[in-house]
Amino acid sequence: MKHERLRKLLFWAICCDLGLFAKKLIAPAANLITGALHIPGGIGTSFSLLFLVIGACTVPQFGCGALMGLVQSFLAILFGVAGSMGILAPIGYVVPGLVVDIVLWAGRKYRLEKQTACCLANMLAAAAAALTANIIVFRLRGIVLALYIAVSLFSGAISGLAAGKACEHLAAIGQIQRKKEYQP
Amino acid sequence: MKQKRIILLVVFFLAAMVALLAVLHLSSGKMVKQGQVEIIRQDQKQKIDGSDIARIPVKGELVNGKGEARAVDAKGSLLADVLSSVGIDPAEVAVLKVTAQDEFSAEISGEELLEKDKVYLISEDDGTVALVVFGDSNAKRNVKNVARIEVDPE
Repeated sequence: MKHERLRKLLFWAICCDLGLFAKKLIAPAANLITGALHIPGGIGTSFSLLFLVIGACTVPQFGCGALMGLVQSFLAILFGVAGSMGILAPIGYVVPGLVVDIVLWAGRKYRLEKQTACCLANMLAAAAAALTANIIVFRLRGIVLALYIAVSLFSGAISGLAAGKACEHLAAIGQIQRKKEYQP
Repeated sequence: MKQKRIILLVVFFLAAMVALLAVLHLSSGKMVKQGQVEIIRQDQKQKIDGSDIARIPVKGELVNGKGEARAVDAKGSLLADVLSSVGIDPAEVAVLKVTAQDEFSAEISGEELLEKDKVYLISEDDGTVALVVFGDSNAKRNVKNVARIEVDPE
């Protein structure tokens, strides 16, 4: 396997793990907010998608978001952290991954700034994740569904802005690294 | 620069939407006090207190999605008995929807409701009410902080 390809896969794998465990890490704080709003979640998922966006934005390749989502879902089932989705977790993880792919691809095509693309990708992926969870598990309707989606979009946008900043820093680090590697 | 401004505007708009929807949701009248459960059948609504259901010791084991067992040792009542106490005949119930304060919900069929030692409402230490369904392969239907029980929802 080529060195570059291995590096890509390792980076995506790290993003998968970080995303999965970040969700668990932030859950107590996120639950305080969602509990007060009387909605079943949305913030933790939006935050965990940040790592998927970083992975897909830093090493751009169409389909990597969906692939990372799929790997995350298998890990979640294996570690027993799939939550209320249970065996249907792959759908709940792959759909937002696919949304990340599509938005970042569109962002590259229409030359959006990295931060804008990341913000949109994280925001829409979070909404897609919330809608998927709603169809599979929660079956919310009316205002409570609108609030659940709005919270997902908002927390997704904030996480996306953070993801965009992180991508800019990672790109800068990558350039420095490349310069060092090719120094005579 | 222009794109950043648009994104910031979108974020502020979403924050405003969250605030507006939160106000609408929290003032929708669907909320019940912590520790209270509203039982809804068609247009009739009745409220019961968590302390009212703590009648018999409920002991058993629940298995979560990871396959880990958790012992339950609390005071509560069979859900069928709770329904009887508010004038609902459990034998006439086709399906029940039990919803938590955070809108997480679980469905219980009429047959399950009539099964012996299967579906309980228990009173938790913090005064809230929880739904416990024994015999499930994972604890997905164990709803904490129960707020509403809808009998034969539409």
